Formats: sequence, structure tokens, C-alpha cells
Amino acid sequence: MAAAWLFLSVGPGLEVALPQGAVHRLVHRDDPEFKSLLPESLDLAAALGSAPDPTLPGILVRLASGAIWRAGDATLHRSDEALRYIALSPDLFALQPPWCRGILEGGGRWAYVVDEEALRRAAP
Amino acid sequence: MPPLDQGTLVLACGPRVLGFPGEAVREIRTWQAPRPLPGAAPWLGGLLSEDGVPWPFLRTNFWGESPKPPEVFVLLAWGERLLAVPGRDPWMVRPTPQAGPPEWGDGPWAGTMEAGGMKVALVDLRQLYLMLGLH
Repeated sequence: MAAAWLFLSVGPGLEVALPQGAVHRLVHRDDPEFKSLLPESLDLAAALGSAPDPTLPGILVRLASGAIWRAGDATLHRSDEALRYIALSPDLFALQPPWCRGILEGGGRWAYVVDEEALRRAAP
Repeated sequence: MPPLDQGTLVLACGPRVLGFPGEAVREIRTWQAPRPLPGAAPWLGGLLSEDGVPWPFLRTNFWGESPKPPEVFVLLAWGERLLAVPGRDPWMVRPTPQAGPPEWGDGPWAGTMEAGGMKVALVDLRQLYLMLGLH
């Protein structure tokens, strides 16, 4: 796909993707702002029912929408990384609308493409 | 062994022995654990994909608990929708006289038949897909 993606490691073996255009800023754990933004962040691992990966450094993602997500790590889509988008039918999910639209797959990567609004609504 | 489109695929699924219409069987493959999908529908055990097509897997305990792990998965198709069913000991049998539904209660049953000295519950795929909410 031509779109550029940001990949967020959430838990063991669990990675999600969102378009880079939806991302305003990344805040690393050692950034002074990290602690002040932490309370208003959405814990992606908890929202997806996954155990957080303690080996990952921890990062906050401020989205263009104003929402802040907490993940284990973030990596950018490399231009040489060929990815295939696989659409997923909504009836594969427990909650509607589903939090995920499809999968980005290729080169050993398997990342769930997030529907930001649906995920926020579904989050505990 | 009868051709797939002229028989019934018998498969041990958890504690039960089930029969699936042969014409719906696309592939039988050695078991490979699917990738988990967070927030999945309760029946969904995970996903694999091939050539850009997702393969949704029934949970391994969908038909009941069993100490034996799956050995294969059978890829079924109803219309254009695929469904991978985990199981063991697959074999094809020719159509045989069918009896009424099994006494296990509600389920997507089309009837029962005898195969290899076992009672086989025949699965009505249309009913199964409706039960899962697959359209």
C-alpha cells in the first residue's frame, strides 16, 4: 500500500497500525511531558484485552484528533516494506462498529489497522 | 475415497464426530495455530490469511472441550465466506442414509449418520453460518 503507517507494539505478538497522517506527536518515556500526559492516555493493551509487554520502553502517541494512546513502542513504516492490506468483515468482531478494519501483512509483519473512534468507544 | 463433492467429510471436533458436506471443503491442512484477534466474536479462535484472503478459525473448543489438540484444519466455504474448522482424523465417506438430529440439543444439525461404527452428526453449514452471524 502507498499509505505511510505508524506501527505500535502493544503486547506480546500484538501490533496495531494507524496512518501516519493521524499522528500528531510521539512522546517517549524519558520526555518530561510523558508523566503529565500519562493520566489522560488510553492504554492500548488494556483496551485490546492484551497483557502489556514489560520489555518494551513505553510511549505515548498524541493523535491529530487530540486523543493520547499508550503503547509499548512505535516504529515507522519503511518505504521498502511491501505490505498487503487484508480487509476484515465486521461480523468477525464482538463489538460493533469493530475497532479494527483490516490487517497489514508482509515481510513477517501482521498489524491490525485501528479504527480510532470505534476503539475509543469500545475502551473500558 | 469418494471425491470431495460426492461425500461427507467426517472430522473429530473436540469430543464430537461431525460430518461436513464434501462440496463445501476447499482444503484440509496440517494444524497451524491461527493468530489471535483481540475483540473477536466469541466463536472466533483467530485468523490466518493466504493470498490476501482472511481465514477465520472456529475456536478449538467450539464443539466442546477435548484433551486432544487439533491435528488439521478444514477450510470450508459457504458462498464466498470461508471458515476454518479445527479437528482430527479427517476422512471422506460416501453418502449414507441419514437419521434425525443428534440428541445433543440445539445445534446446526442436518441429521445423523453412521460411519466407521460411530454416530456422526451432520452439520448444516447454512445454519452454522447463521449461528455464527456470518453473512
